[in-house]
Amino acid sequence: MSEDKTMYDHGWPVSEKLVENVKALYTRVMEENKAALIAVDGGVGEGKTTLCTHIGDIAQGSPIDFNKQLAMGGEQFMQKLELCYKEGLHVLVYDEAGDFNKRGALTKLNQTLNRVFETYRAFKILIIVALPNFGVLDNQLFDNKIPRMLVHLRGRTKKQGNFRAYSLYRMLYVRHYMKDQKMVVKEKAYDRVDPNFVGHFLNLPKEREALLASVSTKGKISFLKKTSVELGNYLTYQQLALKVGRSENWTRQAVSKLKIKPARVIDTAKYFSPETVQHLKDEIKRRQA
Amino acid sequence: MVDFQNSNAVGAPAADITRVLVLERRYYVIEAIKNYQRLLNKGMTVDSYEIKAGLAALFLEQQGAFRRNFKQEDEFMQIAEELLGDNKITYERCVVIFWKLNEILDKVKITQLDTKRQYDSTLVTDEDEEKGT
Repeated sequence: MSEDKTMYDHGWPVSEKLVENVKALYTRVMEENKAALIAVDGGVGEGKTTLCTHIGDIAQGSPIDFNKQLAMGGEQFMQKLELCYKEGLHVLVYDEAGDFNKRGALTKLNQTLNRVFETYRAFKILIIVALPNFGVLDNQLFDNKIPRMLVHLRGRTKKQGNFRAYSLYRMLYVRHYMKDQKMVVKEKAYDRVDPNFVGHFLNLPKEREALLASVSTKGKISFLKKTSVELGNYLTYQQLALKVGRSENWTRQAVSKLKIKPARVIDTAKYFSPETVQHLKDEIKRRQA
Repeated sequence: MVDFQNSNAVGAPAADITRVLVLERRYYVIEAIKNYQRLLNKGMTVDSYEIKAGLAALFLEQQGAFRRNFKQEDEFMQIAEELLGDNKITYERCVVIFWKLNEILDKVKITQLDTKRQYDSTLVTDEDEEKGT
C-alpha cells in the first residue's frame, strides 16, 4: 500500500465494518429520532480529528464542512450546533482538544452535552466527540444512554491508523475497569474488554488535510496566544483597573494620557505589561498631590 | 429411568419429570436406530422392531403434544395406528415417523437448545438492542 493511499478498495477511507456501524447509528438518529453520540478517544497524534472527519463524511454521505461542522472546543460547539440546525446539517464534530487544560472544561463539556441531548434531540443530530479519554464523560450521559459507540485509537503507523470499537454495553465495562483503583494504567482497561470490531483508517487527502489543518490550527493558535498572555502575566484594561482601584474607563483614559503602548495585541484585545500598574499608581499620586 | 421411589423425584414438578422421561424415550429410539445401522453395515439381517417399540413409547409419553402439533388429525391417527398396532413397519417408515416427532419435540422446546437469539456482535446497534443498553 502506498503512503498516499486515501481510500480502501470498498470506497471509504475506513474499514467497512465501521462504515456499516456509522450508517446504522445515523439511521437510528434520523429515522428512530434517538440520541446518539460517537466518542473517538486516544492519545495525541493517533488521528482523532482525522477519524472524526471520516465518520462525519460517512454519516452525512458527503464531505462535512469544516467551517460549519467542526467545533474546536466548547465555545464553538454551541455556535456551530445552532448553525447546523439552521442549515439542516445533521452531523457535528466536537473536537474537545482545544479545551484540554482549561479549568472546569470537563464539567462544562458534560453539561453542554447533556443539555444538547435533552433540548436539541429533535434536531436529529449525530455528534462525534474527539477526546483523550472517554472516561471523562459523566454518569448522566451514560444513564441517558447517549454514547452509542466508542472508537478507541491506538498504535497509528505511517500508513494507517488503528482502532477498536465498543458498543455502549462494552463501553460500560471498560469504564468500570477504568475506575478500578488497581488499574494504574488506564489504557489496560480497554484490553480487558473484547471490542465489537477492530479496523483501520487512512489519512485524509492532502488538500482536505490542509483545509482541516487551517481550521483546527486557527483555534489552537488563538488558544496558544491567549496562553502566552497568561504566562507573560500581561494585563487587560479590566485587570489593570482592579489592580489600581479605579474604573475601567478611568484606566483607559490614563493609559491613553500616559501614552503607554500595549505589550501584546490579540485580535482586538490589548494586553499591558505588569509595570503599567506602577505607572498608573504614580499617576494617581500625581493627581492627588 | 426416573426413579419414582426416590424422594427427589416425588417432590419434583410433573413437567420436569415428563421432560426427563421424553428425553429418555427419545434417547432409546436414537440408540435403536444406531444399533440398526451398526448391524446393517456389519452385513447382518436386522429388524426394526426395537425402533418401533421405542417410537411407540415416545409417542405415548407425549401423545397430547403430538396431537396438538400435527397439522392434520388424520396423520396423527395414522401414526398412532402404525405404532400401536400389531403390524410391522419398515425401517424407512420408522425414520420418517421419528423425524416428525423429533421436529415437534424441538418446536415445543423440549429438545431445542438454540433458544438464545443470534445477533451480529460486530454491529453495536444490534448488540445494545439485545443487551438492553
